[in-house]
Amino acid sequence: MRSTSRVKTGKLRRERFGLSVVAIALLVAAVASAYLLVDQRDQRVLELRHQGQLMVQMLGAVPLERLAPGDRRLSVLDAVAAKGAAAELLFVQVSAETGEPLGQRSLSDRLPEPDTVAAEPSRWLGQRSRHDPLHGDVLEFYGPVLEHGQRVAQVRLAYRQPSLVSGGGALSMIALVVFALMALAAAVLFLVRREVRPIGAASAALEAVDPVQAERIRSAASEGALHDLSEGFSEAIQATRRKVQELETQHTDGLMSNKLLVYQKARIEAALQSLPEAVLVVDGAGVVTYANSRAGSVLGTAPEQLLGHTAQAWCSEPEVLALFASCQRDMARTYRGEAVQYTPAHTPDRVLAVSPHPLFAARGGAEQLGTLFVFRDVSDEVVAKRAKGEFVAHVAHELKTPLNVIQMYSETLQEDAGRTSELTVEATNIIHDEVERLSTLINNLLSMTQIEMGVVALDRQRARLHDLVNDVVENVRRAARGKDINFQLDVPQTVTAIAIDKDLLRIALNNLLTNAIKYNRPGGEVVVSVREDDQQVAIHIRDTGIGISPEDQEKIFDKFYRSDDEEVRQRSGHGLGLALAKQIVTLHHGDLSLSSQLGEGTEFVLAFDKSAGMFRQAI
Amino acid sequence: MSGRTVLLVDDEPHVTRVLRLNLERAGYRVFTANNGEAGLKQFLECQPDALLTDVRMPRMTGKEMVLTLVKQYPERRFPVLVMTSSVEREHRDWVEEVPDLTLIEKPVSPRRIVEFLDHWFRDTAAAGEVG
Repeated sequence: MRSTSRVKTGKLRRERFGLSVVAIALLVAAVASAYLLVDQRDQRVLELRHQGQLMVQMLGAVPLERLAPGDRRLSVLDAVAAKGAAAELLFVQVSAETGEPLGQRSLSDRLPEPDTVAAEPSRWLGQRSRHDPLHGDVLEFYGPVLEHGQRVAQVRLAYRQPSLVSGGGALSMIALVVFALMALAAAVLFLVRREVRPIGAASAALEAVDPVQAERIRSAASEGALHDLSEGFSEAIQATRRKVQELETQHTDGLMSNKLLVYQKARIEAALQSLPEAVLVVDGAGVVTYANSRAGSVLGTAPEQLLGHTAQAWCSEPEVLALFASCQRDMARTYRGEAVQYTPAHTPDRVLAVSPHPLFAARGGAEQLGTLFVFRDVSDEVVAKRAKGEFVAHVAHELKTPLNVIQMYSETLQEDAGRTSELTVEATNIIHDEVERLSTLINNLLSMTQIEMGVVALDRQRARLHDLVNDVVENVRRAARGKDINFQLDVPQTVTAIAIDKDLLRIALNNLLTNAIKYNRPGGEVVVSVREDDQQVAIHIRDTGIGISPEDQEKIFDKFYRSDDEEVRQRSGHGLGLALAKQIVTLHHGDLSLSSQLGEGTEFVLAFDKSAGMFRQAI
Repeated sequence: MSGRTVLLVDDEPHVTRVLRLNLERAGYRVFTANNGEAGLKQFLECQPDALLTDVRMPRMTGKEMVLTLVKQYPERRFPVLVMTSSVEREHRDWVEEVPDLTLIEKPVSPRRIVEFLDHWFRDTAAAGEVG
């Protein structure tokens, strides 16, 4: 990881720093020591010279017999030798002018070599450094021994040449200096390290941007000159980190809202595209700026021809062009758009309705950006409206007809003149019949409308058809008392009970039976039977009536349909009975079928699945 | 009015029966037909003085029948009474074309019809017009 390698190099750097400090300290110590040593030596040399010269002069003034007594009595030389031991005196020698040693003392175990004595007086006194084969580098001082102004002997002193390493005191001092320097260096190193550590830690923290570390930095650098720096630094880090987080959050938010906008736009687009209506957006100049995917097919134009074009380019119907033109004119004012219906040229069997809606700028702007046009296929609505209109007219007629009869007969009854008992009887009967007819009609209408509106829910109960059919037949038989009709019933007791809505089925059976009687011949027959197979139970109603022609058979289940046949028309009816029966059977998921021979008779079959309704029963 | 004939065209047997009753009681001779087609035929045969008809009938509606008659007998003046279930706009257009046409809304009052016809014939007789 980058940060750890950085940390490692940081450590290395710190080690190198320490090492370099140590090295520098050592260097400085070495230089100082060297300087000290040299200085020491030079000092010693100076001292020696000084001393040497003094000694020589002093010894030169001492009488000869004292310097070199013949016999081995103590001489000054001994004293000198004794004293000179500390000063690194090597030897002292007194020689005659001939060079013959008169007396000498050596501090080493080697006697000095005799030396030539200079004859020139200018060379009697002096000093020299030479390399002695026995003693090494020596520093010699020589001078004359004078008596009464005459040289009687030569004295020579030799000291060891001070070298760098000579002088024990210097060494300890040097050691002290070195130690002091090293200690100083160590102290400096330690202090600097301590001060520098927060920086390193801050640097590491910068890598990690870790608030906990930043806190530790602050507590670690509790004092020192770097405290302010590290404090400010970590504050800067914190501020930067916050800013970065802020920016990241803003960025994420921006991305999110962008995604959201894209999604919403896609959703709106999808909604617009999935509309069954064609949607066009037209700007102020009448140019189409948006057309959804349905626009092409509904308007019968290729989509490319819509976008960027005005209405004239793709529309030929004058009503639409007029609407577009008026919307463009009225752009400045708000208006409530009225839908315009028209039949498009490319699909003459359909009717479209186009409604304009003004488009305003978002956020409640008053400026109108354009107009939204919605094209709806209202063909079904138009057909339904027409059908409804026809239905209402039909119903009005059907209701008014019996009312008409009742009105006329009751008015006739009201007149005293010409009222006979036969008339009264006739009128009363007819009024009664018409009232029944009216009542049946209203009930049928109600039931049918309810079923059509979906208000009716089947109340399926397991019913024994035997009882139900018997019941209905009995009622009908009673109502048909006056008529010469023979009823036959063939309903086995063991018919499987099926789940049906008893009330509704009663109505259906009643209607069919009423028809069977109504359209029958005098002395005719109505046979009701129930048959069963594996899957179905079927109720058969057969009559020996007037029958139904093939043309009529196709329409006979239509509402209000009555055959034009004379035989049918002379019998009153309103054409709803079969329509309702069919609806009821369909509601049961059954099937109502008929077979008929004109002039012979008709058979209706109501077939019901045995399994229908079983699930509900099972639940 | 005695001797006047009325052609009654309606597909409802009860209606024709009660109207016939009332009209005959008032002294009119009544012929009936139960659809427009039969009505035309009957008109040709009996040449009635007045026509009383329903609108909704099988085979040919009252409207068609009346319009055909007007075309067939443009010079004849006879009152046409049309019994209708509705006083809708659908009748307004064609009734204008027929002279002497009166719309009667159901339920119809036989007495009023008789009165109307009586008045009519009295007036036309008075005016010297004979159909």
